Amino acid sequence: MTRPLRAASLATALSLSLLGACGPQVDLPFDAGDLSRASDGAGEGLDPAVVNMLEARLEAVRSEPDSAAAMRSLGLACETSGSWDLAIQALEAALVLDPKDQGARLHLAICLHEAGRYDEELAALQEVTDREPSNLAALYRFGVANLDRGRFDEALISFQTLAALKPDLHQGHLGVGQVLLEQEKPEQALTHLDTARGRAGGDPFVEFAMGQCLADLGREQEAAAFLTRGADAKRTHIADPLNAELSRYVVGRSGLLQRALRLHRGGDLSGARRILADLAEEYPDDTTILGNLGSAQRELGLSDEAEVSLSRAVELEPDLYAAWFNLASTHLDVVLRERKETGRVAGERLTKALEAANEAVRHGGHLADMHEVRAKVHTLMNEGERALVDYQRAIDLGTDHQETYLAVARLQVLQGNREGAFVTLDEGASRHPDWVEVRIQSLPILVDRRDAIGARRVLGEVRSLVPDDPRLGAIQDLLESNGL
Amino acid sequence: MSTLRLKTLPLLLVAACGGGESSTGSSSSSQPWFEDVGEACGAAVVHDLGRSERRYWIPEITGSGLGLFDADGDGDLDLFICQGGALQDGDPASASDALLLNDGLGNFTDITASAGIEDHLFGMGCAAADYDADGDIDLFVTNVGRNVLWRNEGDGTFTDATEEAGLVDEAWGTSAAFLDYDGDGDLDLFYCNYIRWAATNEVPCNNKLGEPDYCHPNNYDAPDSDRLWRNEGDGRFVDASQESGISKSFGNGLGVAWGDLTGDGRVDIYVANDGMANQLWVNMGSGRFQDQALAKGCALSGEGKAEAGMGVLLEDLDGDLRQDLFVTHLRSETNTFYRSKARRFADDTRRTGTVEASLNFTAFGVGAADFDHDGALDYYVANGRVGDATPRFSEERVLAEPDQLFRGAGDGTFTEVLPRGGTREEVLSLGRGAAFGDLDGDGDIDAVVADNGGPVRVLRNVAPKRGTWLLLDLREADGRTALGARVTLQAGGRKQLRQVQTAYSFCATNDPRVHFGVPEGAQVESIQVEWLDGTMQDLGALEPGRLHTVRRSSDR
Repeated sequence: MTRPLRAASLATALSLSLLGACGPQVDLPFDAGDLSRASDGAGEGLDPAVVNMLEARLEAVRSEPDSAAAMRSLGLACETSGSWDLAIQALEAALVLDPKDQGARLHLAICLHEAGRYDEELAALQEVTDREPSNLAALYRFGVANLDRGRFDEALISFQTLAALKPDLHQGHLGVGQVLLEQEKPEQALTHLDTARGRAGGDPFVEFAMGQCLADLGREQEAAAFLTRGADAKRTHIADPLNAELSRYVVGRSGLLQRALRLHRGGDLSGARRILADLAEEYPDDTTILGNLGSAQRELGLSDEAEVSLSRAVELEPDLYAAWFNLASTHLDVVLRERKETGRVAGERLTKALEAANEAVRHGGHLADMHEVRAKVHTLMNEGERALVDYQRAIDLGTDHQETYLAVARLQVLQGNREGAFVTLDEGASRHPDWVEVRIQSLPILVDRRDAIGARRVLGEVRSLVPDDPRLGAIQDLLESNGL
Repeated sequence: MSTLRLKTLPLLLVAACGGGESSTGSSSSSQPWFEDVGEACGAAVVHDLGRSERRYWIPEITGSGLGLFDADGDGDLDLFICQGGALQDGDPASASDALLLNDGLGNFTDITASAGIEDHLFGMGCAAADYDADGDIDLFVTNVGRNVLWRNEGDGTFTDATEEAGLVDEAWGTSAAFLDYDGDGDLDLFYCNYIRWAATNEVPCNNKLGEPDYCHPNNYDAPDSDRLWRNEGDGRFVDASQESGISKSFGNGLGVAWGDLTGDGRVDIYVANDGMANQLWVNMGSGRFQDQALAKGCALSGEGKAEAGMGVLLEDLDGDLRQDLFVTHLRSETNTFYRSKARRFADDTRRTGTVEASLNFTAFGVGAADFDHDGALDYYVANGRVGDATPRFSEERVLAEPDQLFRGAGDGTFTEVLPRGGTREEVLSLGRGAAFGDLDGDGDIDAVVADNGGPVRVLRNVAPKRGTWLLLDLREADGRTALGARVTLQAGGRKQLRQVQTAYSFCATNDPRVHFGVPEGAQVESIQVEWLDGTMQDLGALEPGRLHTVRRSSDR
């Protein structure tokens, strides 16, 4: 694999000069030879596949020097590869050729933002929204840009316009709510955020804003669950018509890997697997690709394929604990599937799972997940004591999995250690204000202890977290029948 | 159950930012605010990583810090500098951490060897206080590996008292703080741990250019819990992390500050985590703490994002007599201003006027002081990247950035002082720890900044002044610094709030004295002290332009 061309080198090569004597015209003073020389000279830079793709876009521009569309495509291609400065140059050139292309201007604004040129971003968005007052994607970005700069009145106008134009989208209502929160009007914000939630389908970013609003209203207990659900969420922007074209320019190992990851996160496992399988053909010894391919295959239920990919990954890189983890999980999947179908546990698979889990712990023992996967294997092997040790270690290492706390509590109860189980559940509850099950499972122990205050407190927390949970009635009955 | 892990996920997913220039919220000053006198004043110490080539191991890019404390009891601030060091067996030894004595005028002499304070481990941060109540200031140093407690013997030498004090810990410690969390009159110890790291846990990462680079801490997926040690009053500490609840929560801890953040009269602790939610350890009494950062609005950015927290400030930055929090972050993130409101904190960065100015820099050390004596707090941030990105400020030191100085208006808004960093010309470095205090006894606040792999910078305050000053050295009845006491000074009808604190910034210990600027034409009308136990004391209208040492009366 040749070393990729550094973005800055390409920027120099691509220095666009604008000649506007007799109407718009853009001159590209370089050719493919310049590009390859720049690559060789720098000795590093963009992925070759990206360079090839950019060369193709450049060629298209050369073939049609007056084509604003070709120039815009070059800009979008540069944007996709993260070459913001190049993208800005090309999109500015496209706008010289066609000043009415507000799609190009919107993407120019996006690239200006990424390049840290925030004032110019704001100006570009202002222009798009002036010229296309119903451009939903631009309105939202303009609102966000103003909000981020503390220009709340301007932001409010954009968001209100957006909400009026497209009330079905959550973004306008969210933006209005956020501005009102900034203006310390949480009562008013609540209405808009409630509307946003109704349209956002559980978008965690909206959940976080709602949590902030509730906290500002002093409803801290309710707020906690929203804030936890929304932690580390990302704002969802409104797609614009050029997004489809953008995705066509995703090439190269790094770009495709990241695209696969995005698809995976978005739930499109088949799409992720397709990209990764293509990459694996091109880079058969790339353990990152193999590891991720194996993971996607596993999640699609393709255990045999996953085993092959992951086994190859750990053969090439024996300390790749993430791959060992996924391999152990793959074997566990098979064991569980067979148990469901035949009622028996496949001993050979379980042994393989244990071997992989041991390697995962050996190389990644500082991670809670590794201990958890081994604990699951031990559980299936009826090795409760060993499972407990690994689960406990996972808790010590800060696991975020409620199931682990529940598993430890269950094992402790089996050992007759109900007090220990309560401590475990209580610890999980105190660490995670949004966890419901650890709270519910601690209630029978509180009943046994005749701890009316504790039981009422926990019940109150559960009610606040899941007011519609059908078990609430039974829990209430349990407390009352025990005189609590 | 499975997770898709891209172990070579680039460090900076938001890459290739544009020029570092910002046209908003900045002001050009004809006169510099700081003059770098590092070499001229005898502090010619270069941060030594122990190896000439970088291995892209995360400790290399994270340290180090430094501290200001009165090591020899002569009333001025001496300088302690953490050095890099070996990260695995076979690595060459680096230079030792260094202790430099101040002659009272800001000139330094290296006394590391004679003080017996040599340490060649990979140094991170430090905290200074009289933990054993013998009248001199001791020093605790965090390392990548074994931390060290240096007991000040009062004769110009220090003794490694780590084992004797029971403070043995080999985790990767960062920022540290002495504090009396249980109100028993002696000083306990809190420090952040970063990640559970070993050379064998290193993972390769590439940057946006496809080149090897430093990993984000979350690539290691191994956050550690912080530690709280209870002082037993006899020179020994007991690990109270578990009983207090501190060990219940994990984070990539880098910065710490403490004070009564909830208004209940008890000492709370705030920790900035790198790439993870910050923690606000609310003191529940009886030695128990509970992390309430999320509910209190200071765990995440206003948009719900866990940011790369490095340095921390606890100061009243908007003049409403409530202490706010300020956390420094990675480039593409703002330095975040958590304004203290009635019930909670709220990310009010958007109102500060500093968003654009901070987005292009990676900030670590930070200090707020009224550098120009106009009655409003300004702040200084030490910047330096942790991974390569374009555009570079320097081709020689590709991670270098200029520091930044912001002038406060007193209402929570700030304007950047240009040239960047307030020096006559921009200085590019890999800023990390930064400590603040009056080094030369002239009544204004100077700064010392650590440069990862570069020379320490001593920044003498030469800012054009807009008023005069007043320094307070507040002592408990037994003579120890009254850490945690809060002081409200009223001048010209306007009140200013400060706290006696040494633990803020990044991996630093700072001047324990309280500094006020008194604007031109204003008179000091009153000074009121709230001691750590809540007792109030009126000091009256002390004379500005001098240091006042106030010892709490013992008949309280």
